[in-house]
Amino acid sequence: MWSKGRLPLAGASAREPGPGRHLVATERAIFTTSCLSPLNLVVLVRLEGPAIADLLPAALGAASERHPLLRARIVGPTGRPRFDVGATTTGPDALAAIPLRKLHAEDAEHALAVAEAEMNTPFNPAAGPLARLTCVCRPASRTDLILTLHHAIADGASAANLIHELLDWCQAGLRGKPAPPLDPVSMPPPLADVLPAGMRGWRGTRKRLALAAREGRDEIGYRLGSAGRRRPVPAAGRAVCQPLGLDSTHTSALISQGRRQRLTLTSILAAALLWQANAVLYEGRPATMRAVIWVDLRPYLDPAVADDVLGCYISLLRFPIKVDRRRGFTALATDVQHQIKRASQRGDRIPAAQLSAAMTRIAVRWPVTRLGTVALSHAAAPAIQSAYGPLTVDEVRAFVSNSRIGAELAAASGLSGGRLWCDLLYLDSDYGETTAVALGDGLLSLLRDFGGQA
Amino acid sequence: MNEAELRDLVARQLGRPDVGLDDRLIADLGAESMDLVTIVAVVEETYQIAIDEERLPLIRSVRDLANEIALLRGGGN
Repeated sequence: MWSKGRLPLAGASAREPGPGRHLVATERAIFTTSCLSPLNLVVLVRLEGPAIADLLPAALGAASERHPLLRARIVGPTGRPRFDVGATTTGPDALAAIPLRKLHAEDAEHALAVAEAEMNTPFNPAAGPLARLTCVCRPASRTDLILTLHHAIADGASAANLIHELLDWCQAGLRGKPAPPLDPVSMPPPLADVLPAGMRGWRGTRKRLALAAREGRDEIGYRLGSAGRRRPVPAAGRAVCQPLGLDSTHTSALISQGRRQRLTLTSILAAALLWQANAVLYEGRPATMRAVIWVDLRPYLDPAVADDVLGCYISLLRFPIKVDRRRGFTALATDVQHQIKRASQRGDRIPAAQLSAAMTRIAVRWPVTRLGTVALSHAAAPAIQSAYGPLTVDEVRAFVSNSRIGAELAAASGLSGGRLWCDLLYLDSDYGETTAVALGDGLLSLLRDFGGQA
Repeated sequence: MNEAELRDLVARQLGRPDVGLDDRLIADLGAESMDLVTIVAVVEETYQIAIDEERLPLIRSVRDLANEIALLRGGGN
């Protein structure tokens, strides 16, 4: 943990700063949070097919050559950190190779334990690299890959693309063919260079000021509305994951019902988190709570940043919301969708990313802002194919470390092989497994009931 | 499926006078995720198809949507 001054340099490997750029917007917010406790994006991919462990070092090497942020470390003053990118993965200035661990396990549960440990294992940002991979070999031609990335260097879209590249490399290796040639990608541009037209110049400044004013107003309203009901901020703890999922039948029913009611999966899941957090953590009493929806910025950037550019272009939509279970779940989901739509139409995504570093500094200093909050990160991974030659992708799911300044109940969700996964993420210092199981069981039951509505 | 009919359907859902086949739903037409769910639901009802939720991120333009419909209806127009 670093509190003040410069980030420590990496001992013997310390060198003059190379090319790179300063961290901006959400990258800085994530980095600030990661100085308190790890903030890692962990992707678990379950595969069936021939063993690929021996192909992975070369695949990782090729990925490092292609993506500047896989050769990066983070240096400089804590208030103004920068990505320092090694020019190459070889030579005297090269960073260490991306660590690869090979494990053997009998059951599928082991990979989940590895993923949970990965959420809690910090990177040394001053030394780099900011990525590592674990390969768990299981009987019956099963392999689980667990890719861990410092969240400041990757979002869901680019992490999925990196997985695709690694598997594509392995596919070529299994066929005894040369790896597919891929051009090196450039350093991901800073957000200021890819702002859409309406967010540049004075219009952007006006939107940022308006959002800051609204956030302040919402904060006051939220605090008044939740006074005397808020739970205390927990001590530092271990980030825990409770994996949840629906089978394909219930997933299909949920999506169909959502479409009939014109509700997005994001709205339904965010409402389900609010509903369950209210029921289990707040005894079901009507309360003003707060939702945080993580959003992908890439579709809104101009010029567009391709998904294969490893980088972190995410933002959040945050709003207070009254949760009164007497009105029913569909009413809550509709309210959530209405709030998301309002925030989207105002164009809050970009200014929220621009303000996120300052907001995080406030949250670190006065960690009261987490109370009564649920957070959802619903990501798609279209880059990952269902098969790579003889390798079949059985399942993909992701985990993001929670922290004491994060939400009381966070979740990462997505679709994989026609099934919805929705992993609850919390801190063991906040509540225990019994509470988490109650939250999870109720959430699944709620989603099944919603999908089964006539 | 008639492409002009689809363009008209998308334009109506987004409250626009017209949309082009190569217009991107989010970047060019300003569609939000809730607009997309409505468009998909109306398309499903109109053409009696079911669009896989996992394929939605790949549908970025009106043309992508037309191709998806054609694919689900057996490749014909």
